[in-house]
Amino acid sequence: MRESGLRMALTLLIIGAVCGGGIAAVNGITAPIIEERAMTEFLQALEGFFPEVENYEVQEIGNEVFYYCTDSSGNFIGVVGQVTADGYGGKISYDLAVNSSGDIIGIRISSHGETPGIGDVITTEEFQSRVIGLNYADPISPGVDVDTVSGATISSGGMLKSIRRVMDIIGENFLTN
Amino acid sequence: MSTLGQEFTKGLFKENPTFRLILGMCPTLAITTSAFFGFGMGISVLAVLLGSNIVISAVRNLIPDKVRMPAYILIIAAFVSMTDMLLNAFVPELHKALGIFIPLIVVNCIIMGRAEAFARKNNVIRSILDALGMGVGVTMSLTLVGIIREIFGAGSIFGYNIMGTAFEPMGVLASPPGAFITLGILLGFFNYAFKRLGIE
Repeated sequence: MRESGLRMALTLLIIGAVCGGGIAAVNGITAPIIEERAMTEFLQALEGFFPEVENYEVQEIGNEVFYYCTDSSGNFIGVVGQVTADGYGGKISYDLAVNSSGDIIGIRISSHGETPGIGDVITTEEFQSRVIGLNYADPISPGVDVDTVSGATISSGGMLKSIRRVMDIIGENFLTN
Repeated sequence: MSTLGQEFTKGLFKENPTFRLILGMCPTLAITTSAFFGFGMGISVLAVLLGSNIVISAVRNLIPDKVRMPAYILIIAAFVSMTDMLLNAFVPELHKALGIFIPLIVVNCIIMGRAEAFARKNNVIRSILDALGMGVGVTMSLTLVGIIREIFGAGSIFGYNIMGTAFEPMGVLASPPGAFITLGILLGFFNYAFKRLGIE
């Protein structure tokens, strides 16, 4: 029988396998390029946060990477963490920069799946300015010292929850006071 | 049977996907806020269309009729994924600009439309010409809409400011209602023009 179920299933299986192979091959070529560019962009952002940085030590805590930055005299100037938050549309990848006194001095969203025009408010000055300047010793808690963005509660709340968690990690591991 | 040349040229004007076949309206409206975005999306659609037309035409006798839709979707999705990755690696500004509309090319009616209407019934050479013609046609139309919306909505073409500093951009044209308005006016204009030229 030409149109047998077996023939149909086999056709789709073969097509699926070949397509999968093709995608994997292209991924093999492009993934290193994309990763290298992401690293370049991150290092540029790092220098933007801490212009005096001379050296950095890389430390992996959990699944997240932290860059312990020192200046030319070897003094500790701050930490930048490549961390994640749980947003409305999945994981949000961002960088959090904290100086040696424990103040948040910068934040950069590197990738997110939030809704354009609604949840992506987390990439704007409006949201990020609420967070910059807060200290490790502050509560950093929605409704207490910082507010979520109305209409984007899950996106902004997820970010705040993550920032609190990351600040705890940074405080425990890097801040001496 | 049309000539080989006609297989290519039909997609440019007579059967232009955007203004004549009225296919792929979603990206047309959403992405054409500037000439560069329109052009970039057009080229991406061209690339996927070329790949899918070639493969679907090459295996057209091997796919059982009952599963042809899932098979086409697999092939089209593979090409879109590859285009997405290649853009991310080699043209990152365009990739960032087009964003979620690149994966949406999978359900762009132009691609599936040409697969169903042409590639599965014609040989590879004709399918290549069809894809090139339709792809160039859609690139021209998206770029045209993009140019208009960029000139009046932002005062520039491909980023070059041409309207001068005294020009007050019409913000509405950069937003979705402006897209509908621009598309509607262009459609009306081309319908009238084609009628006058005697092309049906």
